[in-house]
Amino acid sequence: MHEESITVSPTKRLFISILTQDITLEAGILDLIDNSVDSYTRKRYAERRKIDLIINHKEFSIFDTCGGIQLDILKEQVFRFGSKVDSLDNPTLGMYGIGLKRSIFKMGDNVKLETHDGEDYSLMNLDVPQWQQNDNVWDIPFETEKSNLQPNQKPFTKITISRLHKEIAAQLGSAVFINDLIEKIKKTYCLIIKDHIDVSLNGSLIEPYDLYVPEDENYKPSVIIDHYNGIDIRIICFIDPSQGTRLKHAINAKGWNVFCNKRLILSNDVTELTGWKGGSAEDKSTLPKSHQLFNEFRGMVFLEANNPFNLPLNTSKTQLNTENPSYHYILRLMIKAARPIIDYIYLKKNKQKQEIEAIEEEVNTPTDNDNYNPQNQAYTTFNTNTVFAAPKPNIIISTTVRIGYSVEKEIFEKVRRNLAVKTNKEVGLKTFEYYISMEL
Amino acid sequence: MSDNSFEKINYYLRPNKQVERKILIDILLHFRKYIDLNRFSYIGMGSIYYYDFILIHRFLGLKNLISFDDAKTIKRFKFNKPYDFIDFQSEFSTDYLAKHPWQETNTITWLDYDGSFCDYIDSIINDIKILAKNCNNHDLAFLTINCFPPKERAKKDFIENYKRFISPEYLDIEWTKSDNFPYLIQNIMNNVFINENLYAENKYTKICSFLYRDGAPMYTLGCFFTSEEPLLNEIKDMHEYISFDPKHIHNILIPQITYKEKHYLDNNILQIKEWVDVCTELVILNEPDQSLHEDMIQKMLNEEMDFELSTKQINNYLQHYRFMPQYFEGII
Repeated sequence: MHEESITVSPTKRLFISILTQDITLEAGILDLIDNSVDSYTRKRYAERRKIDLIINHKEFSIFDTCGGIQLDILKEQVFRFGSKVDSLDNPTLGMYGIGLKRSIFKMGDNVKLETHDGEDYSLMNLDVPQWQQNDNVWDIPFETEKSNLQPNQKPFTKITISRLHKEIAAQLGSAVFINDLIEKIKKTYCLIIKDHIDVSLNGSLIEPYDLYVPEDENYKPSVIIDHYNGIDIRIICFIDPSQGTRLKHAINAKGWNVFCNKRLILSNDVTELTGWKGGSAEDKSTLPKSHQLFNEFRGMVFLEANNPFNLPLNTSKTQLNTENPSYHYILRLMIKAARPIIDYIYLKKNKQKQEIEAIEEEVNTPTDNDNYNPQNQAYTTFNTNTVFAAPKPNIIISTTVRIGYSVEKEIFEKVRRNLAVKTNKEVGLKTFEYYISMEL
Repeated sequence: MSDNSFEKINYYLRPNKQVERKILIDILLHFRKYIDLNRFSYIGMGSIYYYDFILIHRFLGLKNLISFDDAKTIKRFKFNKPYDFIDFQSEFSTDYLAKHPWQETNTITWLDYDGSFCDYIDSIINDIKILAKNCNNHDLAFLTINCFPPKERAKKDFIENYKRFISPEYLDIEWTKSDNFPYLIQNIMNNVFINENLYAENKYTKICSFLYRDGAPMYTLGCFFTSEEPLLNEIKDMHEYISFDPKHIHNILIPQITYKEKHYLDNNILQIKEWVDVCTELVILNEPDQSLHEDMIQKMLNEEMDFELSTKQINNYLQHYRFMPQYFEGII
C-alpha cells in the first residue's frame, strides 16, 4: 500500500465564475474607484488628486494619481484572492480583497496594469483565458524597474481592460448606461469629489451632488454624535423646506442617506432597512410605514471606521448588512433622532393624515367581485397558457366636484346663524344653492 | 427658389410622406431576398386612410394586418378599413404593443405618431421599451414622429429632463434648434433602443432614418432585430437608403414641379446626372473658394437645363424620382 493525495485545489474557472456572478457591472466599476480612493486615504494626501475613467464598447480604463501600488503589495496582495486585512489605521472601504479581481474578470479577457508609486514602476499584462488554462500555476508574471517618475508626474495606477466580454461591451457602449453611471458617481462619491479627488469620465469632469443641512432660528436639526464598536457615528435629521422641488434622482431628496467612510451606501431610503417598518403613531420604537406625508423628512448618517469590517456593509457596498451587530445599534440611534421630526410632521399634517387614512381604508376595503365564487385549485392543474379574464368592472365616473375654501370665522358664524344650520358643509352647500337660484 | 406658395400647393397630398412610404416598401422588398416576409404580421396606426396597410398588402402580400388607435370614432375607423381582414383594435399604442403576441409571429411594426415628439416623448419611450425587449428574430420596426422642437422657454428643461437618454455630444442646447432637433430625437430614440435591448435575445440595429417636410418636419427611424452577424453584413449594403450610422439621417425634399417639368426631367435623367457630375467637377477644379461652389454649380446647371431649379432640388429629384407620386384629378 502506498499513500496518494486527493486534489482539492480549486479551478480558476470556478473562482472567476463565483467571484463575478454576484456583482453588477456598475458595482464592479465603483469597486475599482473605491480602490483608488482607498489608496488616496492610505497615503493621507492633503492635496487634490484625480481619477480618470475612459469607457467605451472596446475598452475600459481607470487612471488615478492616488499614490500607486507599492512593489511588495503588488507582489503579495493585489492579485491574491482574499488579500490580507488592511493595516486598519485608515478609514478605507476595501474589505475582502476581491474588488479588483472580480471587476476585471467580469469585464474582459485582457488586463493591463501599470503602476508607479514613486519608488518602482511595474507593468503587468494578463491574458485571462491563457492564464485560466493551467490550474496549477496561479502566479502572474509582471515586469518592474526602478522609478523614472518625472518631477511633474504624480504616482499613478492605470488599469486597462480590453477584449471586453460581449455583454459588457454592449453595456459600456450604451449612452444610457454611461449616463446612469455618471449619476451614480455624482451621488456615491459626492463627499470625496467635493473635498479630495477630481473624477472624470471620457474627458468630462463629474460635478458632485451638493449635501447640505438647512437651519434657521426656528428650525434646528436633530443631531446625534456617538461612538460604537470602533465606528464614529454622526446622525443628522431635519425638515427640508425644498421638498418636491428637488430633482428626481438627486441625493438626499427624501428618507435616509447613509455614508460609510465618506462613500454613499444608501440614498433616499424609505424601506424597513432604515426603520420605516410601519409602527403606529404611538409606537416610538420604529418609524411609521413610509408615506408621502413624510417627504420633507431627511436623515443623513455618516459612519467612519478604520476597520471597515466594523461597518454594517455588504460585500458589494450597496446595502446595509443587517446581521452586523453595529447595524442594530445605529438603527436605534437613527430612530431616536428621527422620532421628534416624525411626530412633528404627524402633528402638523394631522388633517391630511386623517384624509389619507380614510382614502387608504377605502382602497384597502375589498370590493365585491360579481359572480366570483372560486374553487381553489392546485397549481399543477394549470398546464397551458391562459389569458386573464374577469367581468368588466363597474366604473363609476363621478359627476361631482369638491370645493374647499377658507373664510373669516366671524362672517362665517353670521352666515351660519342666518341659514340656521349646524355644519360647515351645510353652510357651503346652502350658499352655493343660493347662488344657483339667484344667478343662473 | 424654395419659399414660393406654389411650392406648398400639395401640402394636403403630402408627396414627401408618400416618397418615404414607397422607400420603406422598397427596403422591405429588398429584405425578401433574406427573409420570408409573407408570414409576417403588420401592425400600425392606419388612421382612417390605411395608406400604409394598402401598400403593405399590395406590394408585400401580408395578410395578418392589425391597426390600432385610441380614437373615439371607432365605427369610422372600422368603416374605412380597405380590406375586411384588417383587425382594428381600439387601443393606445403602448396598450396594444404590450399585448401583441411577439413570440408567436414575426412582426413589422410602423408607429406613425399623430403628434409631436415633445408631447409624446414619454409614450414613445414606453413603446420603444416594449419593442426593444420583445421583438422577434428578423422583426422590423419603424417609428415616425413630428420633430417640431420644444418652445424657447422649454428647451433647457427638455435637455435636463431627458439627459439620461442623451449622448454627451448632443447635450448642448444648440441641438434643440429646429434644424438640429431631428438629430437629437434620433440620438434619444437610438439610445433608448440600445439600452432596453441590452439583455434581449435579438440585437437592435438602426437600419435607416428619414427626415421629410410636407409642412411639419417628420422624422422616421427604422430598425431591424437580429443577432445574426452575417445577415447584418448582407443587409448593410443591400439598399441605397440603408445606413447603420447612428448619426446619419436621409433628407427627403422633393421639388414641387409641373407635369411638363417632370416629363423633361424624366426624359433626361442620365443627361442631368452627367451635367451635375461635370459641373461639380469643373467648379471644384477651378474655384478654390468652397463657399462659392454651390452658386457656381447652380448657375452652370441652369444654363444647361431648360428651366431653373436649385442644385439641391435637382439632386433630390434624381435621388427620389423613382418613388415620387403623381397626382391626377379623378372622378369616383
